[in-house]
Amino acid sequence: MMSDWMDILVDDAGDEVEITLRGTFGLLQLPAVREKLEMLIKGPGCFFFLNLERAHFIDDAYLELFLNILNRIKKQNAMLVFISSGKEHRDYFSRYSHILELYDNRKSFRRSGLLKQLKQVGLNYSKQTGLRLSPGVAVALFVILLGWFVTLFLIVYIQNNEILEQQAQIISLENERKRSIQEIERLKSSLGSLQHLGLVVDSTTSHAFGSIRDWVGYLELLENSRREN
Amino acid sequence: MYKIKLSILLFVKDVFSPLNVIPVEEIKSFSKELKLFLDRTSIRLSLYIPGSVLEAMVKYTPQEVAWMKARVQEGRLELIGGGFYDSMPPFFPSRLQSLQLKKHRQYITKIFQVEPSGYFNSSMVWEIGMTELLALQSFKYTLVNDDNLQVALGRSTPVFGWFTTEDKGTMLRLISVSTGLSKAFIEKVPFFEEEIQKLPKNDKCVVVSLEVPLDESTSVSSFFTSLEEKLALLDHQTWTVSHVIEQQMTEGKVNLVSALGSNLGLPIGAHSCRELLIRRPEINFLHKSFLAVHRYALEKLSEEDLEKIEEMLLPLMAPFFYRDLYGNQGIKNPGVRWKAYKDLITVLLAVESLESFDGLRIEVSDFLLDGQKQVWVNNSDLSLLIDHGRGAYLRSLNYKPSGVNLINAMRDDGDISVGFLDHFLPNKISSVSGFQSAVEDRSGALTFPCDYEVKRESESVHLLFHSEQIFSSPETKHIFHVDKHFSLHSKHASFDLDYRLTNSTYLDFKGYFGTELELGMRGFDAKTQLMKINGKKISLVDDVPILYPNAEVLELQDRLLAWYTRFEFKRPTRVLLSPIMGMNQFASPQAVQGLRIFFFWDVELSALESDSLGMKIKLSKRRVLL
Repeated sequence: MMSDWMDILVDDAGDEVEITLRGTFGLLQLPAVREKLEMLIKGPGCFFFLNLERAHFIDDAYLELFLNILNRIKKQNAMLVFISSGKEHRDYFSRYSHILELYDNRKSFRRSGLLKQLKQVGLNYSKQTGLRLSPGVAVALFVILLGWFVTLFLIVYIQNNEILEQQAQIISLENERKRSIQEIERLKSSLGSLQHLGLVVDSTTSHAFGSIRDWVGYLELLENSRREN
Repeated sequence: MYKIKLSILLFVKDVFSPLNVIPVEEIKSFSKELKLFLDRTSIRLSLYIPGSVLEAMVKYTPQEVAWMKARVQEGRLELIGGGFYDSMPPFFPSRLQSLQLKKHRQYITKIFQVEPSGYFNSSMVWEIGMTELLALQSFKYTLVNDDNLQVALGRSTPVFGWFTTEDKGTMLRLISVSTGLSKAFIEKVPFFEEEIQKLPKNDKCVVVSLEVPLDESTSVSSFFTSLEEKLALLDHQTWTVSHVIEQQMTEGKVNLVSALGSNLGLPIGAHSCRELLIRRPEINFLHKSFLAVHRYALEKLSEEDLEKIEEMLLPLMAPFFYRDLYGNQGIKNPGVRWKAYKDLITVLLAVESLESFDGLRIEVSDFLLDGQKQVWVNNSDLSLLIDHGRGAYLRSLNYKPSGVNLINAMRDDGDISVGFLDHFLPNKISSVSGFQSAVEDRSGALTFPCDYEVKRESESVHLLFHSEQIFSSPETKHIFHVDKHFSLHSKHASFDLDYRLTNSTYLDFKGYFGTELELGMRGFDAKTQLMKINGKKISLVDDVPILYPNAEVLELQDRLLAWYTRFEFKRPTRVLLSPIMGMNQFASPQAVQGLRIFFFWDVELSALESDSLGMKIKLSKRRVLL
């Protein structure tokens, strides 16, 4: 029951698990701390943060324990990060500072390097899904995917431009049609008075032209009648 | 004729309301009557008003407050400082106490443009440790009851005037308040006159503290009428309390370590307000829950967010949550307990929201500050405290969306309310009263310490508690290996509770195994509450206990407090339902303080044989949501 001298706090947020130790840790507490930590690191988690801010170690044996815990966590393809801003802990970890990563807080760990964290998340997902990709294949897949995306974007871009051009043409033709209708109306109105006086006969309304559907046919009809005459 | 020098301190107490209703009429009446009283008489007064009441006065009676401000500047009225919510300092961390004092001081300065030099709390609690806190907040004096000073000075004669006390290099003046004369002012005239005759004929100022009752607006006016009548009987000269220090020399130094105060519900033999934490487990548990939420905020939040949370915690330091009294005065009222946990859960949710934590939190620490560890488990909907040092039973079960602590009953035997406290009972019991008595006696309760184990899985956590428990009957003694297993989902308001019992002795066992819950339910009301077993409605008629033989599902609902819980048993169980009756202020066991539920099964275990039992517990706000 020596574990009763220490406080343990676990914040389990799925991929991120923070274990906080509080209290004074001597040789007597070592077996209990080992038992509790080994128990808590089992199970899911990609990043394990061991918060030692309020822990006071009075024996070097804990370094061995942390190395052991680190090994176990590495085997689970997860990462162990130690959290403390105290100088006492920096000095305590100095012997293994190249192995045990100690940060002031979780924010400073996040700022320490995105690539490292992405790699860790990748490792975790490869563990969860069983898919393992070599860096070369991953880069090739990435380039292919990027190529696909660029091609898709270009196709969309070109088609968009074509659509815009066609829309502009439709608008100009529509304007042309309106202008022609206005011109015809103007010509009709100018001929109106002469038609009333009987000086001009509207050939377009005569029965002979009833079957004429377009101007080409009409011109052909005129040409035929001229030849016959 | 002898002319008595009097310093009168008038104070009001914050009024408890479950729904935060401000007693506007009473506060208006207080402001107006105070103005009329000071207009009619020429006396000088000192006044302590908690921040919450003062805010209401400024809002509803601004003219009277402006008038008071003018009297303060004339020197006829003195405003005394204290906690914004009139808290008792020895209970709370210095950081929160400083905030209480600072907030009250700033508000008084803003409204009246004066800085209070005196400190007062309506409970009249004093401890030597407060010296530094008050001195650092620029307070010059505080008031203590004269009977406490008599004990500290070893005197039997009345003590008047002021003394100094020092602690950690800081000094504070203690002004003696005449307890006898303070009481006499609210008694009838003959008693008052008798008390006046007892006063020594000297030129020392007698300080009295009088509470203006804010219960009804008529009682406010009758208080001032009575005060005026009493004063008319005296040839008096009145001064503000701070004037005592200015006009009189010190009476010397005193080593007053603690003063019990008054109106806390503690017996006369008690020495300190801290005894509330020992004598009333409900106060102790609320206090520890309060501290746990504050510790959580201190550990996880930035200074800016922490200030927001501390601001939210201040109303929870109000004295009515920490008095061993009935009615709206103290924790014996189920409504006060409900309100306390509702507000505390709101703060807990605010801490979780500011921390942006959405997961499962397990803390193994000395939550109760009793030298042992407990396991505090939190997910987004539930919060449970498991006391594994005493058999792994629940000390609290908070359902966060409704803001209720379900394990919130009160037992008049001074014991705590529990959740899933396990019992072995002999098979000789055959009557309902026999079961009820066996459970209440707790003779077969399994309270030996357990080892804990935490197993994390994705989306859930398993808390396993292993123990060796002894059950003794006059004939035999059995040792059982009990594995108690709580499985919680990280996001849902449900958990499973499973047992594995192994008879470790070479003797057959035939009896009952059960688990007890003491829910803090209101007195049963068929309109707003629902109780169903196997889909059939049941009700507690005349608070008579019920034993139901083959329950598969038990449903409980409180529509008023918006919670619903459902127990599903893995095999049919017997259910004993009985109300927990407690005393009310009329000293008869009439007040329903909760509902005791005892689930139990027949257990027959031969030597080294095992058996498994269990249930699933689901909670929601409404029945249809589950």
